[in-house]
Amino acid sequence: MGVPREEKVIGKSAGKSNAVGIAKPKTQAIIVAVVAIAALAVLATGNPGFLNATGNATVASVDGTQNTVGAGAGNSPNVEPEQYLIRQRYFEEVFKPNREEYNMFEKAAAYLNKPVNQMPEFFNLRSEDEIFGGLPQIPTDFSEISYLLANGRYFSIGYLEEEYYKQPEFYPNFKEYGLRYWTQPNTKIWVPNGYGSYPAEQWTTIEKGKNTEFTAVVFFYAGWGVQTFQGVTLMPDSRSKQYFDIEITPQNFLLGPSFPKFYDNWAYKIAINGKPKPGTPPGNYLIGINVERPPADLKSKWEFDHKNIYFDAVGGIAPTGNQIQLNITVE
Amino acid sequence: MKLSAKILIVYMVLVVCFTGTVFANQLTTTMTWYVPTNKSHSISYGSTCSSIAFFFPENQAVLDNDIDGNGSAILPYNNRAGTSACQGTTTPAMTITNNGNIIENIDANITGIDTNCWLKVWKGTAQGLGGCGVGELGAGLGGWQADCNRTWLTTTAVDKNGCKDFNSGNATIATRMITNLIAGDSNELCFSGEMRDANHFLFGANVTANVDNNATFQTSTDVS
Repeated sequence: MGVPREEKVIGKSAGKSNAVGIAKPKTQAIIVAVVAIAALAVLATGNPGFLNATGNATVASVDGTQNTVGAGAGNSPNVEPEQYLIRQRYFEEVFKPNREEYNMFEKAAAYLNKPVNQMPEFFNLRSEDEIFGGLPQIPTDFSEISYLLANGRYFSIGYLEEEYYKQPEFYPNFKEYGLRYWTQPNTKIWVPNGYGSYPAEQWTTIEKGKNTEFTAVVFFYAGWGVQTFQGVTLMPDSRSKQYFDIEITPQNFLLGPSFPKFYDNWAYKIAINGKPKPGTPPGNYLIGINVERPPADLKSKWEFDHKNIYFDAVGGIAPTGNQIQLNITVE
Repeated sequence: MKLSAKILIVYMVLVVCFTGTVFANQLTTTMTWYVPTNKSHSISYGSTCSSIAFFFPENQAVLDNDIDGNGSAILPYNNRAGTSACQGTTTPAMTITNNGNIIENIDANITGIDTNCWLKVWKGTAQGLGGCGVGELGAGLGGWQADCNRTWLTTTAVDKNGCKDFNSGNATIATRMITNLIAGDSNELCFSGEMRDANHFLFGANVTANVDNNATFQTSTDVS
């Protein structure tokens, strides 16, 4: 290209270059040199500007005290981004169940100072595999989807079926806080109550002429270590019902145990459809949905079916801060 | 100048202008503060106790253990007969675990309690044993005090030395039990049932004998 030869004149002519026309030979050389240097610089920096067509990169930040995605929001503390040069590998691994590495019976035996062959009987299971044996097969993109959701970058959660939300690793903190019910078992206490909702808080806007209703999807699951069947009724607070017609599906359901094994009904996908009532003024609305006692007929049936291990979910603990909270802006 | 040279120059100028935008640092980074809230908890109980199996039988009272309706310092049991205590030196009656990813406060109130029934609540691990401590009155009553020293209407939580008295006069209003329960952490709550009149006199028939005097202890969480 002859660039090296012409580089000598850059210093002299740089201030005189005319971008539009009538270029003299020296000017042309300057332009060529600038272009070449620019091209080299862009290549050397990995060309970020061209790769990102929008010019935007999204950086999600979460509550720094507990739940940065890389260290505490659903992934093993042993899986850190620094372990992988290729970040795609990290996204594939960070939420990956890797159940063959849990070694729960081995750890429990060491914790209890008992032979490992006594563990199946201790946990009332045939084998460690039975813990997750009743769950659907894990999808190949499970880790990547879970990571996106934990980062708040996946919003089509209505399309996530049971092969996602019935895996305990789908929920933040299972590996940190859930596994310990097996690895550090405590016979002095048991867990009859507990549940979780994820994502527990959501936002949407109803724009006049654009959409007239909203649909929110929340995954509702038994808390870690829960040995019982819990009757759940989800109910919007009375104030919300003044302004919105709200339909929750399912509204009454039986939450199965998450310990010592995961039952098929340990987690549910809840769809919440809402529509402002006529005359609802524009504004910001907070819809709180909480757990209440199930209808008497359902409770009787569930109690009969599960005898000593049925409880109303609401009996133990009820979040005043709303178990599910929808923040709706009506424009 | 030839036309081809002019075209080349215009092309190069355009390229320079375009690459110039790259070097002008106009690539933006959108900073998003987002908390993907996972709100989850588990409650465990000692023995076979549960939210509906939590009894204070007067005949198990440490003070005045008969059946005339005025015993004190009664541990919670799994049934009316007092077969198995929910709480002991190394066993908390109730353990609340935050399994989500947000910090929570735990509040509680009680409904439907008899005027002469009292419930004392304090924090476990009183003796650092992972339970409700020994204390002067016996196993599992380490935090028991005749008159609890924690003010009712406050956000100050109970602790191993400071209990709260729940009774019909105050208990319908929620009060703080645990402050800032971080994700993954557990706190233990210990209980003592009392049967006595509002003036805390230990003697005199205050609670009807041989019937259930029920109350609902309702704990609740709040995002701090």
